[in-house]
Amino acid sequence: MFDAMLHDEEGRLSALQRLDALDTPPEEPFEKIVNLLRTVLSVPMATVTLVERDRQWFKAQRGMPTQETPRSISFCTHTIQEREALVVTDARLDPRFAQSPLVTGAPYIRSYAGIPLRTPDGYNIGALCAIDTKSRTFSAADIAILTNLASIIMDELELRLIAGRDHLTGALTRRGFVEEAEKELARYARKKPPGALALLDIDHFKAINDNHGHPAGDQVLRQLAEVCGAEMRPTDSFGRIGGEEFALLLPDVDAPGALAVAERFRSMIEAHPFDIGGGQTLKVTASFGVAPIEPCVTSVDAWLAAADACLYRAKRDGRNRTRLAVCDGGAGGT
Amino acid sequence: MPAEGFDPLYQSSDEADLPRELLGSVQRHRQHLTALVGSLRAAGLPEELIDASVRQLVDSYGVELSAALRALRKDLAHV
Repeated sequence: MFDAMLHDEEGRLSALQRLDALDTPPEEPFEKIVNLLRTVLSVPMATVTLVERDRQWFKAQRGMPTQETPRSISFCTHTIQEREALVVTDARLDPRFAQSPLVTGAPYIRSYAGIPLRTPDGYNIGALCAIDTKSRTFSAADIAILTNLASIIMDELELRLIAGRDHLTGALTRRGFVEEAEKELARYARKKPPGALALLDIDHFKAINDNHGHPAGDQVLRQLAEVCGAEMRPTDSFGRIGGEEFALLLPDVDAPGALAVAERFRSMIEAHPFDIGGGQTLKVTASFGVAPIEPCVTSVDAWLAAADACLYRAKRDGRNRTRLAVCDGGAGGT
Repeated sequence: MPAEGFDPLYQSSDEADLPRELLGSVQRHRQHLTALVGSLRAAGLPEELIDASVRQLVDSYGVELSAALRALRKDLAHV
């Protein structure tokens, strides 16, 4: 029977994006699952694989020599075309895989069992895979274990989606934040209360990652979220909009008030000693762009764009400063 | 025990306090864990390994669930 969902690649990619699960640091729930899978199925390799348009990326993996590969050479691109398990007992004898660099070279895959990771709306966004370097069969019990674990992976991913929460920092995800901003816009349309949206971007974050490693960068992101979270009012919302970019929604605060709030956050970040482990602390600064809600703001995208333009000014003017948007396109700030 | 004392493996009166958004997730997760225990037993794995494995998965989900509860409560506070 024709399954339209399996052929809706754009819908599948949108479903994957909505999960906000790509290119994250290692995450404990999925690390536990690949460890467990490797133990109970006695395989040297196990992966939680997400399949993007042109690559497969391992959200968790054991035994693979790399974190991602081109999709064109992957086994999982075939797994996500099916509703059931894909089992390959000897990849050298399967014309789909015999010439794959993953078979002819490291990690020398010989056998594979993959179960699609299926969203509630029916899209296969990746696969849970057990992989061996020797030819083998996978029993019905093995496939049942894989299937159950794949369901548990989706439980975790869906739970995060429900909560709209960024796993690393505890901040709202971009989606979660946009939903909050949409509510605020709707409230503004009804009652015209003041409000503002601030974008903040960590200055020279790439250098932190490059000089101290990504775990240190993750620590900075976590601690920055803690610093901001401790200072927020209960009615404020804080979201992670991009890699090192966060957004703050400030209901019932006018433009001068929002500028003062952003300045307070900026000063607190500047004053905070960021502990990156090993007895080391870092000085970190951030730049802010603040956009008050105005009649000219007709969508969250426009609101974010106004704040982003000011953030750009703050960066251009030397970083570690705040710039405020006004509806006529001018900008003030400190 | 997962944070906030909620154990998603066992049905209890705690569920009455769950937001509707999370109840379906908890119920599905319990079904999947129950099925996993069955398939691990069918594969002949020792009970100790099964217990330890499932406990890890329960704990992971419990942490996520607690965080989700906090996030949803914050959302409710905004309404």
